Amino acid sequence: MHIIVIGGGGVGYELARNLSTKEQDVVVIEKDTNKVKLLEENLDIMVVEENGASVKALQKAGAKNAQMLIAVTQVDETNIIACMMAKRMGVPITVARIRNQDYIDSADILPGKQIGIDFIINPEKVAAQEISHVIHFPDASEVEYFAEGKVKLVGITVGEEAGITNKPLNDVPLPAGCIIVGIDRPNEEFLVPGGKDHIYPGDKIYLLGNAQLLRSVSWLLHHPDTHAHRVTILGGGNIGYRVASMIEMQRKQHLAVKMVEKDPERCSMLSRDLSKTLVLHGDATDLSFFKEEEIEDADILVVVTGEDRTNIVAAVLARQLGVKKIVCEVIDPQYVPIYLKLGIDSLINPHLLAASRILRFTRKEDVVSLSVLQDQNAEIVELILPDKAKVVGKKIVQAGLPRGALIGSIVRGEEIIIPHGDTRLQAGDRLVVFALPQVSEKLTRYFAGSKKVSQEQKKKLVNSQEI
Amino acid sequence: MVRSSVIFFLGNLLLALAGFMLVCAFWSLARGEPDFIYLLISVVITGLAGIILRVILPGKKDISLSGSFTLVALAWILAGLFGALPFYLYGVFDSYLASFFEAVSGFTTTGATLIEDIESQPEGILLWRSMTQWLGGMGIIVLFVAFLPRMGIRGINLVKAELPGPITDRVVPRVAQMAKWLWIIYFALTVILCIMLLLSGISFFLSINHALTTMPTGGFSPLNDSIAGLGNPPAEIIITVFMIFAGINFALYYMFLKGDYRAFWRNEEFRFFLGMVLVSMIVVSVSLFSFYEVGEAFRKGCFQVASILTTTGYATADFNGWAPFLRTLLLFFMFIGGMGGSTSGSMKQARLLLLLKVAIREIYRLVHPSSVTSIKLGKKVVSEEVLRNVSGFVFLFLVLHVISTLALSAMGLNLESAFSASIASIGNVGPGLDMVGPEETYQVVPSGGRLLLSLMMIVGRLEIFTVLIFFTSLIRRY
Repeated sequence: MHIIVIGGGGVGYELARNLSTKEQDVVVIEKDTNKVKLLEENLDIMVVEENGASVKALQKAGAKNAQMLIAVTQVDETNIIACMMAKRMGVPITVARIRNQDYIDSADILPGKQIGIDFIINPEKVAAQEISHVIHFPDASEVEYFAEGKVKLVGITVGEEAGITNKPLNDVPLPAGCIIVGIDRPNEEFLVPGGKDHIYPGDKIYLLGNAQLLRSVSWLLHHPDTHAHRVTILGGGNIGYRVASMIEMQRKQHLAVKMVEKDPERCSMLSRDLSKTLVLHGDATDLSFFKEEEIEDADILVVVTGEDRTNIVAAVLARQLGVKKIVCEVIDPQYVPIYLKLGIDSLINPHLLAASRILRFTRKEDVVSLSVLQDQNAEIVELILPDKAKVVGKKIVQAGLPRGALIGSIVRGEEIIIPHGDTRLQAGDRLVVFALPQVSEKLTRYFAGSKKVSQEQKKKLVNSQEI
Repeated sequence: MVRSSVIFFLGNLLLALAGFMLVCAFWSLARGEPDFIYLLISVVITGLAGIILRVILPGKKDISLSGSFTLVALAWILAGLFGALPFYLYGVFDSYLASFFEAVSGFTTTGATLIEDIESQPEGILLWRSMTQWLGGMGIIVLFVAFLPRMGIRGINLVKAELPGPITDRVVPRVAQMAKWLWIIYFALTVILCIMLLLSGISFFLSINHALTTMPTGGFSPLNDSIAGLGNPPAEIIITVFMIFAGINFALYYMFLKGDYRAFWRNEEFRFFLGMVLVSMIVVSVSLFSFYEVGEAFRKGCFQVASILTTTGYATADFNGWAPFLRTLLLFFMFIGGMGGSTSGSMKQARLLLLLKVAIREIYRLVHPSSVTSIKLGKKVVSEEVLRNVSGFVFLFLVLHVISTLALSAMGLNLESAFSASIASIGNVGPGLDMVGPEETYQVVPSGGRLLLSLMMIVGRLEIFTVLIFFTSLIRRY
């Protein structure tokens, strides 16, 4: 697949990296010389040093033969124009990163076909959604939903006191509707476990199953469910603002929200737009301010200042003061190990999240969604099994799936099935497949229908324009 | 320091070499030549060594940046060491060093030979000799990047280390694909050349050998008198044209094939190269009027210009006997070479062109001290970083040339021989002047000099930096 990515910043880099390791032909258009160098030296891709919103650059990047164009520069207008031009040049799928809500609202009036943008992605919104999932489920470090919320994936770090450690998985009393799909052990390779594998304290396990059943994991952790009442958000940028307004919109669960922002003008804007949130003007890395405003009393602290170093300092201070649950934004994935050392495992990487949302369009299967785990150790592909797929009608044991791939659950109509070796796969099944990155691409062989999937059909799988 | 992945990769390399050697062994078996058994022994030794290396460390796939330099440098040294086996075992030479020299001269597409009577050698050996040039021409590592799946992201570093020229054009998104295309084009041109030579009435064996050594601008010929020995004027013209083809950036062929028909003409380096070829062909041919009659003068003049300028090193005439002006001119051609991204050696047209522009800019700057100018190649601005790299390269190239000239004269070669042998080796040309002229061999060079020149050939083929980084990494702690 020939894919053009415009903008080699955070999201663009992540996309190019992921796609190039899967042997896709990636051309990145980037005008900043330093970024061009970084891209050229580290990735197996072609880089065109130009302004992405120019016909010349698109021609150079081979837009004629491209199957997809992803415009993810910092500038909304550039992305929109690039998509419009690419569409005219015949690129079947275009994705634009648009941050300004005003533009997204207007997109409803002008359907995508007229403007030339098939999908809109807003990394900040995606990150905010992800953060609000974790806020509502504070025991987990990572939460993902599949099949319209029917199936849930939860990542939990197993503590010393948990009853499930040090015995084979076969003996762990899991409820019928869920399954452990992955074990992430520090300094070891990611494991897609079998019945004989053990869980040890300190492991991060990934549970997949019925969303209803997984509403609580207290049975697993042997302590009562934590319920959040007070949330403090450090950083009133786009992500922080969106998280706060999402919490305000939740009627059922009443949460008290404090928000800390450094810039006084931004503060007054926030206080105008948010009604229930207490907006504080102050520095997220100032210890005396922390104490004064009793930040340590927060049940959940969300650190989203938009700057890695500030985030780290703020997180360290909060941990020092005894905040139990910290959700932290990470921009440069290099810092992930530092957070893990501090015991902060709810990490949100906006770039990675946005990239993984876009990645699904690059697959040959009928992929409904694709998620990448926080530390990029595994991918979860949600797909619909077409009539002609190779595995239709077979039992799972006969399907011969590669090692490192696991069908975590099957949604058939309203029913959620946790499959066994002799579960038969049917056409139309909605599968949630857990796979290591190196085998992820091989899944095509088993789950794709015809060789060529029409782009129209793909677009139909996603019902909204905003992804 | 040497990471497991490097060793694993070197194991693969030896296995591949063994495979190509086996082809030569089969040829010799089919022709009932006496060298079959020796080639087979070489295959076994090389193959075993390869398997052992692979077994010791079934390494991870990703190679670090410094690891990739180590890999490329070691790969070429190992290729020389094992490529020498057939020559040594069959008894072409008594010493292993001489065999090593011949093999390195092959892989680096230099074409300097130590064999006095080439025609008396069996066909299997001669085919292997030509094969080394063909493999080295487009690059052994590039071949691997092309056909071994997933070399990791370092593939581009490996290709850069082996593909000559200051700027590596990225015309295809993935490195593996680019490497594959380069080899496909290279292979196709070789086949076309081989067929054309056959049509011009040359025997199958000679056609294959000359095709295998023309496309990499190598210059080994299975005939004592090089191309002159063919005695076939149409073949000379065909080879002249293909030597120039081989001196062109292979990325341009790709762009041409993809429908960009103006790719050649738009490339400034190509225009410069073509201009230089045509002008010097006319100058040399006209100067030859006093030696030969007009037709022959043109044929021999053009051939020799193409041969030396692209650093092939074939001869249709003993240019050692030509007028002093022509000998000097050819000697200086050895410093230039073909285009970057071609299979030719030496400094390359692009570097010459860039330095020329830098020099003009300096003059201009003296007159207009506050002027701001950027140097362009075609329409693309060349970054200061590349310019620095080019100046560094040319300086080191000349320094190494001076050192090896000095060393060779210390070993008793006269000025002309030492000077030309040195540049002919580091520039991967092959024959020099006087004692190492086209009619002679490198037999006059003593053992120490042979080792030095072998090293210079590898240094020249890998464009200096790779090998220097490798040697400094041996000394440096980190």
